[in-house]
Amino acid sequence: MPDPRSVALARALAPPSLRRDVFDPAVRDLVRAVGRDGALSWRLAALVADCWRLWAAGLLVRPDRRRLFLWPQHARYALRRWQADPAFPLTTVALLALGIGAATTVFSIAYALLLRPLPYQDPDRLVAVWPEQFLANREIDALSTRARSYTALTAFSPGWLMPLTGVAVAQQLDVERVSANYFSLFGVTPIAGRPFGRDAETPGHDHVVVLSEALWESQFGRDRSIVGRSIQLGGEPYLVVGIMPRRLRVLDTKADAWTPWTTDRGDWTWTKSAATVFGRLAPSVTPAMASIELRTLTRQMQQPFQHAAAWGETATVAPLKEVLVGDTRGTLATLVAAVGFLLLIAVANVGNLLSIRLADRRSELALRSSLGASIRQLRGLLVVESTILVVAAAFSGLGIAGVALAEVRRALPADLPRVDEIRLDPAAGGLVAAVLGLVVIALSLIPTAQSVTAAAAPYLRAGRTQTGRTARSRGVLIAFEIALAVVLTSGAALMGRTLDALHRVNPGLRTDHLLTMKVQPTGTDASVRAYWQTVLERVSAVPGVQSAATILHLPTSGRNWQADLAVAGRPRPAEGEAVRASWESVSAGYFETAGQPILDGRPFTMADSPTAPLVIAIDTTVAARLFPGQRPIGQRLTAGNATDGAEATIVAVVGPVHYDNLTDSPGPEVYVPFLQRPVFANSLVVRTATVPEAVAASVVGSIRGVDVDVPITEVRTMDDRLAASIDAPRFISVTLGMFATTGLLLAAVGIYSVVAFGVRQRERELGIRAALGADTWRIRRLVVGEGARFVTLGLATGLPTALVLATSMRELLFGVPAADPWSFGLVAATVASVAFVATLAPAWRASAANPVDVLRG
Amino acid sequence: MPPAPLPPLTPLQFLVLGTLLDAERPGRVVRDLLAAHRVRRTPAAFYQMMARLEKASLIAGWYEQVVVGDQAVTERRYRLTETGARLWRQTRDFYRKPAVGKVRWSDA
Repeated sequence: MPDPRSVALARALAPPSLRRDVFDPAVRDLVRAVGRDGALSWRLAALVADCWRLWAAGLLVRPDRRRLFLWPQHARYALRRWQADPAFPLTTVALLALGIGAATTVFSIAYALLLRPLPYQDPDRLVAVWPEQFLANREIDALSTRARSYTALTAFSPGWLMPLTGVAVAQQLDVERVSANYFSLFGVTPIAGRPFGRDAETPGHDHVVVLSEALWESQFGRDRSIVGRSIQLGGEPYLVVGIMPRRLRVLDTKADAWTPWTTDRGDWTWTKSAATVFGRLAPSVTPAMASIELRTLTRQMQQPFQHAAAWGETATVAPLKEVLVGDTRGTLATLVAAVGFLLLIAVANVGNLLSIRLADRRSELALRSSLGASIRQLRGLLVVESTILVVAAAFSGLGIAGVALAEVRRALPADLPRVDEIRLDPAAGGLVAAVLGLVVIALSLIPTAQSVTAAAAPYLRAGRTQTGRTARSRGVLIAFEIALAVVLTSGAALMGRTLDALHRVNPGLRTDHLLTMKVQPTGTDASVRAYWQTVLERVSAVPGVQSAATILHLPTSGRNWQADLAVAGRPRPAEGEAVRASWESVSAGYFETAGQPILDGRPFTMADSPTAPLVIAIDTTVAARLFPGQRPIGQRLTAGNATDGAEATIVAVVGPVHYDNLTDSPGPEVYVPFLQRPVFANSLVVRTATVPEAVAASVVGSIRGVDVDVPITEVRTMDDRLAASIDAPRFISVTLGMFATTGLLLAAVGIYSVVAFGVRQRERELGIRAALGADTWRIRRLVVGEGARFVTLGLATGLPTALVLATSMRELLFGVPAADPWSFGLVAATVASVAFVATLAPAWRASAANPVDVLRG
Repeated sequence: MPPAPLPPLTPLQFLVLGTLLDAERPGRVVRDLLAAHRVRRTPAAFYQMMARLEKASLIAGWYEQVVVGDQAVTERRYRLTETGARLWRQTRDFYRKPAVGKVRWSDA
């Protein structure tokens, strides 16, 4: 016997009206036909489908449902009418498509960056454990032993630059050092091979590497046989054990490869082994509970690890997603708000257009009504028209969003987390279109009620007319649009001023005619010194090059190495209380080449050799902190790793430079001579006499001539680097500028349409005025004055709103107050001017009409 | 002279009622008989048609249990009502009448 449950399920799925009379007898025949063991399921499905077909067919032939047949008729009528007068549908579709496109673009970005779950197993349980951002091995060890809130903790140390050699084109890799359980913690399995095991964390067993999919593709052509072979990393052989998929990207560091985070218990010092810690929360533990436990543990760790009392005060356990998108939340919130305003302007505008259109069609609707059309049929006509417009706009909007997203992906700041996950989200587009569609259909229906419920006779007799109420409601809509345009334009003006302020920031060096690149030789200190000496000589000899020098990290690179400073002869400060500075290793002539001013003392020279007394240069920030009111030259200083704990004599005080970004205060920074403190990871700066790009190829060629195996990357001018460092504010500024321009244009269209419609409605009145002696200027003033009322109302409400909202943008602003009077003054003047221009055309037309023609009718 | 009225049943209804003239029959048999006259209906469409005929009181239907092999199944059976039989006869008579005033194409 066939399963009675499947029959019952099929019956439940059939249309209720056909179950008893059609499904029940038919299914019995089926049961009898298939016998005891026959397969019934597909036959049941076919029966259910057939029942629905009959139901739908019945719907169309039943007399009470015949109104459905009117829909195609309405659609044909609408299309015919629009063919004769395409301005209205084209304008409406363009306005709506613009709104849908902009909203879908921004919502797709927001979804990809903020809402889409991280591509890891059970991502909500992943957290960053931050007593301090970086922890020493001993602290990680203590946390792992004592904490009970996690099923696993893992160490993560990004940003290790290692040259990959022995391949066709040598490359500098960005390597992350991670604990062995790092991959399992995120639940990411390798494409090929395996992750490294726990034994790899022991010094001596750590020369194993897991490659990223991107590196596997670019350097090894997706050759699976690379697993199990050795590659040259940092001049040493590393065994490739696995390949990880692209989605393994944490804290937005673009890792090329992963090597083990070794825990040498004989080397517990903070400076040599520090990492960030991630964890997977145990079941039923929340980040808040884990934070409380962490603060207790950090208090316990202060004394044994000799930390200052303030250490770990801000200890927190943060969900990984918060950590990843925290910085971009403000940017995205601003953009989402901006697009929301743009959408509202578009909807208000379309509402206005529909309202005007309907007022134009009152006679037609009244005629239809008097010939017997019911209110329902008239509404059906308008709903069909609106639906066609919305559907056309939705498709156009999705097209716009597709193009815009491709452009946005290119324009977005490269360091924005999860930027590669941005793609057109049809669900977002559909949702926006659906919401907008409902709003538009509702807007199209509201005036219908006014038209069709009013007595038809006046409209049939008098033709077009307008009540004061509908004119006022349109005026309020226009004022609303103006207010929203003011808010958008204010945001754009403030960001424009921010961008301008950023351009005016002095980076601390002469950025023009400066070529930069990363060059990373490996070897012993002596061989690296010899390599650089040869490179600097050859590059300096390239025609068009004035001078060349090397530095550890380039300005605005965002990378730095830190050192605790201690002045000789003063009591050594406790850990955590010393002045901590970034340090750079620079070659002789660096300050002159980069154009960084030496304010006191002398530059580094070739005489500052490994055998000469150690020397150091400090910037004005360090000078002000360590030697307030004194001359630092000649004083002696230890600077952690920068001087390897030894004392160095201060020989120069140099100007401050922005190493992180232009918005942060520069410094503190110390500099040591490259010959006394050689480092592997280095950058080259070249001062050129001509355009830097013109000599770039010759410079790279001369470096390759020294050693073809040394990776040369990121060949860019310093101007480009500076421009890239303000990508994020530029992106917001440009986007808001585009939204503001669009918003202003939409508002102008709105003002124009309402004032022009008002003029048409008042043709007779204006004609009488003209006939009674009103001159053209008086009539123009009258029309412009009508528009001015809406604009004044819009400005009066928009400016205070913009002021309030500007305070929430404060963290995005730089060098300009949220209540910047210049920005708001400019906005008011711009919006008023645009609105004034929009009212001029109808005003001119009103004054140009011949009163005799108008009165004659 | 007023035009002659059309028959009360459509050709399909006439055919269906005709299958029940001599005996009551299960739905599947009626459907098979229709198929023999090249009238093919899906099960759902067939039973919808039968339901409409029932509503018009031209036929009466009920479920009856039968045993097929070792399996007990129910099936819908139908019989012709008095009204159905009368309307069937009227329709038959309509088609039996000789064509009056037949127009040949050659006369046109």
